[in-house]
Amino acid sequence: MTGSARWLVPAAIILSLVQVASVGSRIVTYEDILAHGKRYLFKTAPVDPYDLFRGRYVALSQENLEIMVTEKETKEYERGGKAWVTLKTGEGGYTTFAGISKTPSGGEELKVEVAWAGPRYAPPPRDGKAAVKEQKEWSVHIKPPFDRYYMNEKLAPEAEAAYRNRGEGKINPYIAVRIKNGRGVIEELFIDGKPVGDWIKGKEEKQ
Amino acid sequence: MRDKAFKSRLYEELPGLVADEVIDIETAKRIMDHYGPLKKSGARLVILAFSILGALFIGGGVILLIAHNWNELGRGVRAVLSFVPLAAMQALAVYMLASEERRESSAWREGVGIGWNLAVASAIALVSQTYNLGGTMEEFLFAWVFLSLPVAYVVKSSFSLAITLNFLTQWRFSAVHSATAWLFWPLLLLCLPHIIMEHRKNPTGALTALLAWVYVYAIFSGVMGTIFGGSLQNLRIGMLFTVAGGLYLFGRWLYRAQGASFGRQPLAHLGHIVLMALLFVFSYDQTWKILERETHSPAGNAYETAGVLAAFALLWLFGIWKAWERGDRQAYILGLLPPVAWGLSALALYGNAFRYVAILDNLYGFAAGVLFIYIGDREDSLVKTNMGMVLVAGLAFLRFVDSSQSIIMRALVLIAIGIAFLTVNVRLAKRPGREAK
Repeated sequence: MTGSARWLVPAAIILSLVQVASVGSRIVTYEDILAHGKRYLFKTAPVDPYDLFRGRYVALSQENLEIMVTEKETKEYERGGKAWVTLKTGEGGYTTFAGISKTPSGGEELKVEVAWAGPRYAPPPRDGKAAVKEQKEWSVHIKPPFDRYYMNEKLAPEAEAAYRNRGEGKINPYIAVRIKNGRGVIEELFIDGKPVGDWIKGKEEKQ
Repeated sequence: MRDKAFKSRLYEELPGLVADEVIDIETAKRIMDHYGPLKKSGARLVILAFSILGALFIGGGVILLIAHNWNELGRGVRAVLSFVPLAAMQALAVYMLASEERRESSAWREGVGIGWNLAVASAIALVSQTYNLGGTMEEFLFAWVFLSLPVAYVVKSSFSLAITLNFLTQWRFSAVHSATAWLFWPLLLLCLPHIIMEHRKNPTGALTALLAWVYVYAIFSGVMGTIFGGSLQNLRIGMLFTVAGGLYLFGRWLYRAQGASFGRQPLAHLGHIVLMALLFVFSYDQTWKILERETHSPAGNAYETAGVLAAFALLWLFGIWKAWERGDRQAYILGLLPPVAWGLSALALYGNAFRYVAILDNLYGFAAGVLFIYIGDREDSLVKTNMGMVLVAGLAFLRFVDSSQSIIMRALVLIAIGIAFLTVNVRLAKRPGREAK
């Protein structure tokens, strides 16, 4: 091998190890979260788009993505920036987002992305006779890290169609998420208490 | 390794040298024997293209096979399988690099480079899918670009670098409001050494030209992202002209010696086109009013804006110096637009003279067009004449349809331009047997 080419094979090996380590470290992190993270349930509503790079998935929209803050607090949050939301488990064992801060507090919380922060115009109160005045409120819209659930190409549109044809309040979709140190990984998408794959199979057997 | 472009030009010159009796036929033959035959690149290009297509199709097919039974597999198995395409391409790269013959083959280099680059993306994507990770396109693209950039240097693959550059540009668009958007510039600089090496090896080669075009596109995309997503909004217009002017003048200096064709001079010609486009765009007073519009951006982007501006200002100064050094006065016609644009920006912003700066922009564009027409006529160059006429006619058309101007003003402008065209026509008609240059 010539002088300048001698480093190429070691360089390729080192680069390969860096790439494997980078991707592998993500796997280790996520497996740790799934194994040791605390389980939370979030109510959700599935939609079915297509991700060019990552295949068919069901987009999940959680409830309560808008967190009320003061006008002064709004200026702390920038679109695309990171924030920490406090988790609160309530009725039926479902979790909602209760508060937001710029830094972690060490409690039950999740790291999210800020979608946008700004004024929220609330409808003015009506007292019948008094003049109507607008009230301005301030809020931060967040984007949680678990906004999609990847499924088989045939099952994803079926899950979405089944949800859309559910009728009023007849289907209860929610996701189980493991969270550790502010990072969350989806464990499963449930519909009416069953994993989504089993739920779809059950519906097909009934038909 | 003999430079193919040099050989090609030398062999083209030899018959002329023999005819002028500078060298005799025997000497010409000895020169050709010394450098060897000029290989046709056609067959090699086919081999290279087939290699690239083969890598893409095999990679795609393997991914589809895995995807078919993907959901039946456990999460752990899927996590391991995510590495399979990447590990395969890494092993192939080491195998390729272990042999000098394979290393020297562009088919091997480009095929492996593309495959390895795409395998990095597939590994990241498959892990994201396995763990249902949302994230953003911005995060995915950044990870891909960061991990795939070194591939181009290790296997010496220009197509791999072109892929990385393309997605670096996409990342810049998606990260326009991100506090880490400034990382675009150091990553872009890291791509430059490979392009310089390709340029030295083969200045007028197709791959060199491809990389240069993709690189220039990336630069402009990054600048647009900095200008419209960043802070220091008052500098926007001056910055646009400075970037275009810097690339235009630097490109003229860089390619002048090689006499490269249009397709192989991306810097100069894209800079030229953008400068002319900017003249058209800023011929409206409303366009100058973007100086008044605010943008919301992370505070750190002020440093990015200032850094990018300083870099291109230096490039412009270098280009002006080189143009003066070699007596390239024609470079000044469009090359002096940046300082003019800065002056007009200041006048608009602090003098509130939007209408007047638009008029001055029109006058400059009109004068530049007339100069190009004059030079083209004097040098018998239809390209330069046409360039001038595009400028003049374009501005005239924009004023004709500009309803913000009075009809009388538009009429007078058009009459003046019409007289100018007829004058040029009369002069051209007086010159028989002109050939296009």
